[in-house]
This record gives sequence, C-alpha cells and structure tokens, in this order.
Amino acid sequence: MNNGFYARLAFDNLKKNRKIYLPYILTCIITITMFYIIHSLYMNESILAMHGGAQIQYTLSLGAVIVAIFAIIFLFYTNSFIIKRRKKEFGLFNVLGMEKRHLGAVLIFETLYIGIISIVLGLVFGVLLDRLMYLIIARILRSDYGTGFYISWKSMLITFALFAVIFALIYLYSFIKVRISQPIELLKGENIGEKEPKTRRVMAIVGTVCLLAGYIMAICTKDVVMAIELFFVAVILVILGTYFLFTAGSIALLKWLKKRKKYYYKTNHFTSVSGMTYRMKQNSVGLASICILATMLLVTISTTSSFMIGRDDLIASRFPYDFSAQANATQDANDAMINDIHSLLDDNNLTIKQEVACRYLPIAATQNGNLISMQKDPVAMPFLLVVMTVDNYNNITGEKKTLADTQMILSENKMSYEYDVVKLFGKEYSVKEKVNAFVKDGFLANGTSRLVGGLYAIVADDTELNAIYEQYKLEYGENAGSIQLSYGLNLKGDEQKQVDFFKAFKDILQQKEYNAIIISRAAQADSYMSIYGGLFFLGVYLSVLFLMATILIIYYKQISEGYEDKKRFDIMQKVGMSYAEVKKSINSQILTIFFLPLVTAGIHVAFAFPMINKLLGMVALTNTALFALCSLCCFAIFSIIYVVVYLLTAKVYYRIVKNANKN
Amino acid sequence: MAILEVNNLGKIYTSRLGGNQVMALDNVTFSVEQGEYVAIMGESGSGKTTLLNILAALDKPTRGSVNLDGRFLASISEKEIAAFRRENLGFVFQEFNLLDTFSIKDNILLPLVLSKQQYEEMHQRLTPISVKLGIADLLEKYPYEVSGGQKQRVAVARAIITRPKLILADEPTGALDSRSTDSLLDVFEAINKDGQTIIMVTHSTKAASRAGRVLFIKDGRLFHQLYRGDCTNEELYCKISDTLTLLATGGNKNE
Repeated sequence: MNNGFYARLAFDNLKKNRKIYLPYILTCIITITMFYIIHSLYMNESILAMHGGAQIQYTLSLGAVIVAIFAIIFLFYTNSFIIKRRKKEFGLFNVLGMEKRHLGAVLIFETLYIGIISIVLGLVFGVLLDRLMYLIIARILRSDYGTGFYISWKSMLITFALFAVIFALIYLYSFIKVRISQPIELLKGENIGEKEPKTRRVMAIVGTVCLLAGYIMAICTKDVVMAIELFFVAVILVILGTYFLFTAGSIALLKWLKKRKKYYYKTNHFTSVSGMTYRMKQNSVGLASICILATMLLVTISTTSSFMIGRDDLIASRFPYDFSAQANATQDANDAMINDIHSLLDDNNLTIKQEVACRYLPIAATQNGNLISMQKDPVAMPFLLVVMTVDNYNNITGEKKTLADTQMILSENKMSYEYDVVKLFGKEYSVKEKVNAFVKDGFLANGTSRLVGGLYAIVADDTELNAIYEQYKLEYGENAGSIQLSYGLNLKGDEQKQVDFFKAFKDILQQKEYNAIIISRAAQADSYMSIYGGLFFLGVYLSVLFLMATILIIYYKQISEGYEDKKRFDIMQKVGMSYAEVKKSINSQILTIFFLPLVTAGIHVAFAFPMINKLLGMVALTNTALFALCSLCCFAIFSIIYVVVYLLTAKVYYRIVKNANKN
Repeated sequence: MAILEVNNLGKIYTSRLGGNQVMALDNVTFSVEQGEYVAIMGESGSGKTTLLNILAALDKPTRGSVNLDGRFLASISEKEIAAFRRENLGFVFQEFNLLDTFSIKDNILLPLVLSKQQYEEMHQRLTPISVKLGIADLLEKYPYEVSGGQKQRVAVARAIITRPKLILADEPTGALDSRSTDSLLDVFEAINKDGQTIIMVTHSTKAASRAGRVLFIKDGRLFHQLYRGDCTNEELYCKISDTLTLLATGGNKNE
C-alpha cells in the first residue's frame, strides 16, 4: 500500500461522507474567514487613524480573541461528533485488515484536505470581504472611506498558524479516539441502548420556581436601582430555571402525560410522547444552552442596535449643550472662570447662541411627612434635594415665574411629594406649584437623581438660597458640600473651532486651578459614537458566528437522529403504521426540538424587556419604542434564518429516513 | 375452510440496469386452513422471504393472486394497506423489531393504539396474553433490559394482540439460543392450539418439526410438502431432515 492509496481513500471517504463533511468544511471556512477579517481590521492602520478608531480597535482585538477561542471549542465539538458518526466505518476498515496506523494515515490525508481547502478558501473570502467590513466600520465612524485594497500579511500568517494548530489538534484527537477503541466497538459504534430517563421532580419544581421568580423580578422592577440590584439575580434564576426545566421539567411533563392513559394511548400522542422523552434525554442540555445563548444574542443585538440607531438622540441627551461645565467652587472663582470662557470664545471667533448658568445646592435628604431633613436614619431611603433660584429656573426654561420669600416651586424626579407645604431647616414654605422635569442630562446633579429620587426646590432668590445654605452647613457640619454651578453654552461656529476652544480652555483650567469638569460635544461625542458603533459591529459579527454554530449543532443533531430514527421508522411501518402517519409524527417531533429553544428565547427576551429598558434608561437611552422595534426585528431576522435552516435540515433528514425505507 | 389461498404466484425481479431477470417465485400455489400451523422451509435465496413479503402485502407479485379470508390483497388500495396489515396480520421477525423508545407494554399495545382502540379494551386484551406468554412481570421494562427470548415473546404478544387472521413469522428463532428457541416454539404451539393460524418461514429443522405441515421451496417453486399426520415431533424431524437432504443432493432431478 503506497501513499497514493491513502490519499485516494481519504478523498473517497470525504466524498462518501459529504452529508456530514460539507457543512463542517463550510463552517471551517466561515470561521477562518471571520477570524482573518476581524484580525486584519484590528491590524488596519487606517482604522486607527479614524476618529474613535482606537476604541474600535480595542473592541476588535477583544473580538479576535473571542473568535479564536470560539473556533477551537466549536471545531473540536463538531469534529468529535463526526468521529462518533464514522466509528462504524473505521471499524470496518479495521476488520478488513487496515491497521490503526494505516487508519492514522488516512486520517492525516483527510485532515490535510479539509485543512488546506478551509484555510485557502477562508483566507480568499477573508481578503475579499475584508474591504466590505472596513467600509462598514468607516460608515459607523462616519469617516472617509479611503482607497485601496488592504491585505494584512501578518493577519494571514497568524490565521494560518492558529488554524494549522487547531487542525493538528483535531487530527490528534481523532487518531487517539480511533486508536483506543476496539474493532468490535467501532463496528457497533452508535447502537448502545438508551435508558429511560428518571423523573427528577424536585429539580423540575425548583426549575419552575426559579424561572417564575426571575420573570416576576423582571416585570415588577419599578426603578433603575432595583433593576441594577436584581438584574443579575434574575439572569441567574432564569438560566438555572431554563436548564432545570429543559432537563428535568420536560421529562417530568412527558412522564406525567404518559401516566394519563387516556391521553397517552392515542395514535398521535403515543409516538410523539415517547419519541420526545427519548429525544429530550439526549438533547435537553444542548437545547437549554442554545436557548440561553440565543437569548443573550438577542439581548446583545437588540441593545447594541438600539444604541446604534438611537445614537444621535443619545448624544444629544448626553451632551445637552455644545459646551458645559460643572464647577464646585466659590462664587468669585466661578465668575472668574466664566469671564475666562467669554474671552477665550472671542479669541476663537465663536459666538454664544444660548448661555445657562445655574447655582444650586444639592442635599442628601430624607422625607418625614412634610418635614425634609438631613439623612440621619440609615434605613430611610435618601433622595436628592436640589435647591435653586427662580431666576435660574427662568434662565433654563425661558419662562417668567416669580416667587415670594415663603414660596417654593417643586419639580419631582422619580419620586412624589404629596404635601402643600415643605418644612426645611426650621422654615415653612408653601408649594406654589409643581412643574414638570426641566433639567437636561448631566446638569444640576441630574445623573445622581437618576439613581435615587430627586426633588428640585425652586426658591425666591439668592438671599433665600444662601440662607438655606447657612442652615444646611450648621446641620451637616463637616459633611456639608457647597453651592455648585452648572454652566452650559450653545455656540455658533464650526466644530473644529469648538474643539480648539475646548482644548485651549482645558489648559487654562489646569493653570488657574479652577475646580470644574468641562465637557464639549464637538470634542467628545466621537468617542461615544465609536464605542456604540464598535459594540454594535462586534455584536453583529459575533452573532453571525454564533448563529452559524447553533445551526450546525442542530443540523448535526438532526442528522444523527435521522440515522437512529430510520430503524424505528422501519419497524413502525412493519407493525402497521402508514408512511404518512410516521412522517407526521416525526415531523412534529423535529419541529418541537428545533423551535423549542427559539420560542423559549423569545419568551425570555419578552420578559427581560421591561428590566433592560429601565437599565438602558440609566445610560440615557429612553426610547422604549425604538428598543422594542429593535428587539422585534432581531427576533424576526433570527427566526427567519432559523426557519430556512430548519427546512434545509428537514429535507436532508427525510432523505436519510426514506432511503432506509427502500432498503 | 381455507383462510389463505395462494394461486399461481410468480415474482420476477429485474435488476436495476434492466437486462437480467431473476425469477424469485414461480407458479406457487397452496392454501392454508383456518387454525393451521404451516412452516415454510428452503435454503437462502429459495424465495421464502419473497413469498412472505407478498403474503404480508409488503411486496406485489408479478403474476398470480393471494386471497386472505375472501379478500384479494391486490385489490387493497395503498391508503388502506397499513390498516389492513395491522388488523389482519401479525408479524414476528428474526430481529424482534421492538422499539427502544417504548416500554414492553407499549410495544405490545402499539398496533392497538394505531387502530385507535380504547385503553380499557387494550388493557383487557393485554393481561391474559402477557400471562400466557410469561411476560407479565416485564411489562414496565424496556427492550434493552430483557433477554432475546423474552424480546421475541414480546414480539409474539404484539403480533397476536390484534387477534389477526394470520401470523407471519420470519425466522423467529434465528437470533435465539436453543433454550429460548424451545420456549418460543412452545408459545407458538400454545397459541396455535387456541386456534391461531400461523405461517412460519424458517431454516431450522427443529422449528419446522413443531408445525402441522411443512412446505419446501426451492428455486422459487413449491418442491414438496409434509403433513404431520400422527407423527411425533421427532418423527417429523427425521422426515424433514430427509427431505432437506434430498433437496440438497437430488433436487435437480426434478427440474
């Protein structure tokens, strides 16, 4: 036997097993393509040169690592499946007189063919599609496209090395598997009797309780703080619940159905219930994992796409003014800073469209009836009381309200205050009116009051504000803060000038040691843009990879079940079931197995929706309709792909079963 | 009264590429009386299995007809055939053909479930049969938990629970050891005594020697038949053995 023989035999083997190998090779190619692309994007210097390119490249480097890890696990998994399927064939070769080392030689050639085809085609597609991905990223960053075809030789080399090692390991694994098994074992391979699964009632009940608890938490969450606290608890409960219910719950349910004789001994139910018991035992863990991963995928994709689509709103709310400053200093220092700003604006040929300056006093307070006092009781839920003058209020809103010394205007933020009077530091104010939320994001301690409740108390004038401040200092002692300044500007002039102004003022800030934080929309929005864009890109990219994995796993599961089913199918027909009846019964089982994870994932996402929506609100994405739309679209796309794959798989499956019938 | 009449049955297989024609059955005619126990013997390739497949309505003859209890198999439409099989015929196969996803009980009940019987009725039928076949203790077990002989008795139970007109057994002892073979043959004899008509295709002289009549097939033709008459099992065994020897050595003279 010469080498040419093994080479030919290996080729024939692949051809003969193309039903199994074609999807595998396709997966290898796609995985390699995706790894090359993400790595070469990471190496691409023109992305680094773009606005926010650094953030994207950081995200891409993470993505490359994830793809690599995924490739190792996933290719190993599929290969082990293939080897299991081919045991009988190896056994036959073995019995026919091929030694294990000859089998090893055949395996080498097989792996070599697969490896070469996959790596070559993977890199070719990688290079071709790389440009497309580059353009997508450039679009996300709203940058110039640049020209030319980019090929990263380094990425090619790394891709080649990585996958050569993976294929070598896969070869070793297969060879060891074949080596340690006996010919008879190999021949019998897959035909070991399946035991009837045991009912684990406790696990099923625990699973139900976990899942319901998780769902209830998700629905009943009222505010952001609760959402943050409970989110991970809910996620863990739902994951546990899913696993328990898929494994123990499904079997408990099926066995319960079996016990109901009147139900069970009906033509339709009889075969499906016992068929499903058997399938669930083999597949439950895999299905639960697919369900969890699909849920995560859907959540990731719908949140990142909401960010992506809603990013203009997001940026508008994150940067309510072209330029803003938060100062925590004396009034004199603040006045000096504002003067500096004005003169620097003139230097940069920028003019003011709108200017807002607001002095306010933030107080961590507790409420007891109509008495508002400092937080002494550690149990009482604190809220943020922000005291400001009516002039500043008018300045922000453009209204013309007036107040007497003993009057207040209140604005509630995520809390409610039901009284007509406010007792604060010994003085009683009557509530003149209540107004809607008027404060823009990042302004007047708004960020803090998004977490805890907030109450804006608007008083008559600076005298009143200062009086309250003095009382506050007396009561809080050394813990007392100071009156703060929120300052915002909308400017006329192009973005580059605004960036220059921002940079110049940053220097002044350091020189003169003003105690202030400054934000510029023109200078800083890009990084947000690229963070959202990068996450979105990575989310979609990894989803594609994951989707492919899910599909392939299900495909293989169905194929292997097809081979097992063909025996059952035959027997049932011999016993007197018609072809149509058998087909109907099997069809309903495959459908259930296929769509169980998808439907469950959909339910999970639906229940998670209110909670995630609240969490998104915290990062200023308050557009519920947009998020709902994104979730629905993602689910729809996911389902469509799923259905297409189901149809393809079912076709192959029936071909397997039908062939058996003819023999 | 003849329950089964086979008239001038012929079956010709044409190989896939055309050309070669193989005569699997040639002009086979016989009839089986109600309550008879008939063994069909012959070497591999003699046409036994083809005959059985045609009797089971799994295959169609090229010539001739099969009439089961007044009905010609050829007249049954494709749609009805599955129902016809499960209501009129019971099958016992060499490799048991039990479903591993069903318990023993459910395997036995399968044909009844398929013909949409009430559970009470099923249960009433199951109990006496399982007692008679000695598998009453195994009902809740699964096929992989019981021995080959037990599996085959389960298969017999499944075959007779529909009260079929005819039981077709294809090498039922082929996968069994000698003790299980004996006990299975006892089972067949017992159900035959209760009036069940049985046709059994077999290689085994021992199995055939328990039947009431033995048909010999060679090269697709009915070659000979033996009636038990007053013979004991042992005597019949010797006669069958002699016939087989004749079949193997001098059979050609008959051509």
